[in-house]
Amino acid sequence: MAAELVGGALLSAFLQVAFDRLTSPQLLDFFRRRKLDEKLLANLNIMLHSINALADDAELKQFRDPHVKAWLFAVKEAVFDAEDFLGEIDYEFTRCQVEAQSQPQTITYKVSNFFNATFSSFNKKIESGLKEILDKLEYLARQKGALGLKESTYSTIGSGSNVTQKLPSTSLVAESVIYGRDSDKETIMNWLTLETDIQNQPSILSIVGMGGLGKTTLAQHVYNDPKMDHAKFDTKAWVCVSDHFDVLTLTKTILDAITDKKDDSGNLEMVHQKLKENLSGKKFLLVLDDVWNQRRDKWEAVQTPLTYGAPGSRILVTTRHENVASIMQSKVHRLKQLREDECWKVFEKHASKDDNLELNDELKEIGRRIVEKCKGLPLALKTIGCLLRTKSSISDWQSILESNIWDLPKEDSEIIPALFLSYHYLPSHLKRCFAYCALFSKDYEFVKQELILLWMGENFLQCPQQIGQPEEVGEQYFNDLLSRSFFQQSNTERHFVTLYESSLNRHFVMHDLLNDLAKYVCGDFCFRLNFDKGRCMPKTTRHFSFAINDVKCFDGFGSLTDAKRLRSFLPITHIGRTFVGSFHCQFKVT
Amino acid sequence: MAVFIANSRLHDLFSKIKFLRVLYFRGFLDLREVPDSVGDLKHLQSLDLSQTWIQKLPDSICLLYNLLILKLNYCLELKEFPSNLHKLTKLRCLEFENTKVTKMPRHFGEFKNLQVLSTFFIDRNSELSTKLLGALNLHGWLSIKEVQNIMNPLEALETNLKSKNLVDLELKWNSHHIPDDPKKEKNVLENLQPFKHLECLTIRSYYGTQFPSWIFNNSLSNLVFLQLMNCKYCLCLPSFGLLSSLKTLIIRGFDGIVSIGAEFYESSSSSFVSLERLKFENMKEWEEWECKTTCFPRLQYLYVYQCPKLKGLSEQLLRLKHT
Repeated sequence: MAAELVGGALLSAFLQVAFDRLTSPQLLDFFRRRKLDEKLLANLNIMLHSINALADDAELKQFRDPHVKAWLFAVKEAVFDAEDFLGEIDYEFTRCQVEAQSQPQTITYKVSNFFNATFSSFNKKIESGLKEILDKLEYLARQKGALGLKESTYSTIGSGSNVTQKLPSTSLVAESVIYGRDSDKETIMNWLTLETDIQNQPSILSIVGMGGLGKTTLAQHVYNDPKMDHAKFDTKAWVCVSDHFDVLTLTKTILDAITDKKDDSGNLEMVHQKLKENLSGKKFLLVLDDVWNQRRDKWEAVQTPLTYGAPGSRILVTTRHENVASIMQSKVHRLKQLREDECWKVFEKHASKDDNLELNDELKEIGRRIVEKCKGLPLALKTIGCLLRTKSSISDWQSILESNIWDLPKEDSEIIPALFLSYHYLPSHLKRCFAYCALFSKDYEFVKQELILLWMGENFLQCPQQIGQPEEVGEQYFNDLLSRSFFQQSNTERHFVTLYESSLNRHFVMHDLLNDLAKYVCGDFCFRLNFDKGRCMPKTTRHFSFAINDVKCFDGFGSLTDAKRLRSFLPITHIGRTFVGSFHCQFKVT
Repeated sequence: MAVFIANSRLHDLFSKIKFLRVLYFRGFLDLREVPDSVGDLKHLQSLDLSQTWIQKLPDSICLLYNLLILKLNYCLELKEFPSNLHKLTKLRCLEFENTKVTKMPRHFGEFKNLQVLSTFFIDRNSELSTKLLGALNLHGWLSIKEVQNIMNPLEALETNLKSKNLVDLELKWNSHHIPDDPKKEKNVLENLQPFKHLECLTIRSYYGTQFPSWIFNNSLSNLVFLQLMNCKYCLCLPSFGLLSSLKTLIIRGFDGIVSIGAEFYESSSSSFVSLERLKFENMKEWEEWECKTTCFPRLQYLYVYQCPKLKGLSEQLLRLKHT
């Protein structure tokens, strides 16, 4: 693979922070004034550079070679430690500065006091800490021969400047059109509007197909189709079920969605009763998106109140498993891979720089072969299309076609190669920002400004090459990830019609498979409670998140305090159902 | 949704995990106190204590020199800031909307890096206050409270609102203030004209009799949301029909309005071209509404509530009114 094409290793983004700190004049000044050994800084800088040179090769090889994977893990640990250490020196520096500013009359006293009292012990601490980190890194760098790691011929440092390479507009993510699903849509519309019921039970239809086929997108298009008016449903509700199938929670969510308000009853019987009252005699349409439950008893418990709707009521389900459909005794609509010509349309729409501009014959030829590798998955086609939109030369396209990521070992993961490839070609700063989203639960709807603030809190937005405020840099990073289809704008109908419609409140989501990908690339350091296996958090965890609904009482989460190097503690609230702390006001039509 | 946390647990957490950068307790409804040991978290850059029951912040919080983000929204019991908060000079985002706090932190001018500020109280020394606000380069959202403290309309200009890249703005007068001169009141609002890309605007307890023209002449061409509350001396609604992007309009507590007529639409051929939701609430004296449905080509929801004297709505509008 042509090295200059690669976006830069994930590790490089972390190293960048260390490089910036190591070369800052403040740090040098700090070392000189405290008569610390400057050579240690220089050595650390060199050592980190030589590690960085191996990062790309290692990140690619880790999937085939467990030793490389372990090595990379140890390197990341050492780099994080170095970063923490430099952060501590930085804090010391800021502290002196702030205190000198706020008490100018005592500046000499303060500084000299600091020098006298803590000079030697502080110096010792810094020097021994630095030496320890250097030893660790030196040891790791020596392993390169044994592991067969190759140094990159280029430097990823400064890859941050890639940020100026702006992508074309983001209007594509709105997905106003879906390709190749006309007949699927028609079948479902017919089921919704035409068929008459033989029995009183609401009729259930499941859209079944693997991840990335566009089940949810299809259901959304049906749900929002103006022709739905003909079906004359009294009430419509969209509920995202996902992998938690708890009878009480789900029944409540359905009730909330139908009544447009939040219900606080704690027991199932009451919720059942309320739901029954709200549905009695009404013709309803309920969408249960992304169902995984394969237990009949659980489904039956959820179903009971739903049987009180008027004849003609419908439940539309999306799921990856046919078993799910069969325990619900639903009709099945199998969603198939897109046909070749439809695949091309999806790909071309995202890959062309301008809607009017046609790809030339040579690119078309390579494009067709790339499209074949996407195996008819719209998500794969869309993401890889967005990647290629940023590359215009034939050699770039060729090397993406020939990438060995297409044949990543399957048993390792269910990551779709096209998605991994798109990730692999991200510049390192975007890799890091994207990987951090592994903390979000699936289907989590996030607000742009909130995510940018998280990135800022983690120091992801501070590169000296970046001109502009961190907020602007964050905005740019976010838009880059959006236009590459790593994020998409949420278009599920909100449970409450929110009055507040400014751009500050726009919601975004990540496709499940991209969430899996984020988890896959930074799984070692991110721990999501109730999602990651076991209740025991690894000591190496740096970022920890949990859904606030899952936790009633904070008991320290058992092993939390063992993760001594933890950097983030992040409860996740589902926004949209609770407020986000702005001038929100919910529009209730009473 | 409540999460309960014991204070000893928290202390435990802070004393063992010293490398935290991002710490959120948003929605921990039982959190009443933050232990002093929070000051040991030297690396902390983002702290969110929103929706907790804390009454104060420990003084040690002022040692978090790396802090960039501090959020305290909906801390309904929070009364004041620690006196050394200004030492957090790197702070870029400070939010404390809906708390009991009524004053800006001491030495507020030291926060030179602030980009996002939820709330600004104009104090009695309005000349200094407006200059402080004017010096900040703010983004996103902002609520300016106690606007009645602005003595001289020229001070309103000092706030530099027109050049602040805000998306969402609230201007709030104290509802107990006694307007000495309606002209002055209007001139103050006139000089608080916001940035032209503003999307959401809320005005509360403005006691002028008229609105300045920037609010309706579509100079805010991106405005999608407009909410006016308790403007009880306003005698006649401005031509909001001219606002071409407006999707939601809420008018509440306009005690002076008896009739709404052609002046609301300005031009009957194309008014309220984007409006989807319209809400009138608590209009004690309102009797007449002259309207054609062609004035609201995209209206989906009409909400009329607590308007006891209003006589009949037209047939078509009634169909839109959800009861």
